[in-house]
Amino acid sequence: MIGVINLEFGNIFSVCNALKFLDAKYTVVTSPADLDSVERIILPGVGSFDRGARKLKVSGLRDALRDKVLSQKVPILGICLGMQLFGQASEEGEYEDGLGFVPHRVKKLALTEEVVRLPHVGWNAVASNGLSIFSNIPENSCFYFVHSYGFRCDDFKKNMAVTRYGDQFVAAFEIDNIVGAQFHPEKSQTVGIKFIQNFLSK
Amino acid sequence: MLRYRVIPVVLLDGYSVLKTIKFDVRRNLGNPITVARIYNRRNVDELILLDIDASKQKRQIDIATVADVASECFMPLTVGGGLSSVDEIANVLGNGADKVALNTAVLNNPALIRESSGVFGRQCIVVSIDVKKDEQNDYQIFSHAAGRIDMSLMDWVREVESLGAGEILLNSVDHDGVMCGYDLNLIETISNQIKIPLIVCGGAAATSDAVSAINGGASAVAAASIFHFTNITPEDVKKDLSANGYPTRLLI
Repeated sequence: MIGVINLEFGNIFSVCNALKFLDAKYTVVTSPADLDSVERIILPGVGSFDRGARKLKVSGLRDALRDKVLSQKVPILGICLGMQLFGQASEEGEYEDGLGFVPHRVKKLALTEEVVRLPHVGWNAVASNGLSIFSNIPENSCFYFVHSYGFRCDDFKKNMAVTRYGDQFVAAFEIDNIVGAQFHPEKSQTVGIKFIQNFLSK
Repeated sequence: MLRYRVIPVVLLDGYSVLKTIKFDVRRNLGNPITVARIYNRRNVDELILLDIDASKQKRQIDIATVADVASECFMPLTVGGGLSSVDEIANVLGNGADKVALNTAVLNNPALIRESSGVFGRQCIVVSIDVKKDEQNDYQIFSHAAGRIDMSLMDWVREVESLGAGEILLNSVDHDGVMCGYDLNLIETISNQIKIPLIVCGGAAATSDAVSAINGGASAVAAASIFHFTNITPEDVKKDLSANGYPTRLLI
């Protein structure tokens, strides 16, 4: 059973639609009790870091997830803001801490001479660097991004897939049971569905 | 690097797909779910679904239609049509839309841009601007549903960005459905004013029109008539863009 966390304004419809397409059984999670029967977790995310982090704290999910993921090693996939919430904190947020699964801060994407528009919106090629979560996905496949903040490659250094928009930044990471995707696999057509399928096989 | 996007637009008058000419003459084209399914199979980059009568009729786009279209789409979906509050936007996002297009509501209440981007993140908020030339051949904001518009197009474009819109969808009323090419002068004028992505719409008839639009500063091209009424597919447009140095996401 997959637990899909609903942070109130998350677009869980599309994630659930993808799971339905893959014939995967899921349940919507809004409180710690909902996590009881769950064997893997998806944290989608739309909105802002502060709102998401606050909602996790207030609902009790913050502590419950830290236990499930860090102690019980339940596989978890964070999508877009969901991935950012795995970090320590975000430049976008002023008040709240992330889940702290990775000890890094989320930072605003840099504008360069070449890159003048933010948010980063559209399809971009991802170099998977051999992460197993990208198995059977052609190298440099395009996934759909829509965001203005992300993790820096300098912080992660390894366990990461990268993309470039002006500078390079972390497109996805995979550390043991924890997977983060800055892009939206549920909106990335065939390769996105394959990515989710790979997560379901972890 | 980021690919350039080619985005089909599907217009609704409540429940049916239609296409307009100069925002006026209409042709009915059938069922939105069928249209969405075909576009999904064609691996399009995104889809824009707009109910063009919603604001005028003081209602929102039909939520069941949104959900049905969204379940056919494994690519991003932008939805618009009479959305005028955070709750209405939340309802649409919760039913499968990834972004919302706001037009009439924000002309009447610009603060909604700041409010909604604050709640949902600016990447969810697309502001759609319809533009028509006046008798002096100057570009003016066009609306058939908002009240009197006292502001200049340039001021509005800049205000929309500063209030927190994630993207602008720029529609030329004069070129709509006429299939004579995009309004390149309009695109060049606007693209220099903003630092958020610019999607342009209105007039595409050939793949080369898309190339000209991107040359003129657009981040993405949107179109409807070319896909409804010719043999040209979104993939054809993307191939021409790639061949002209504008990388796109192509089927292997």
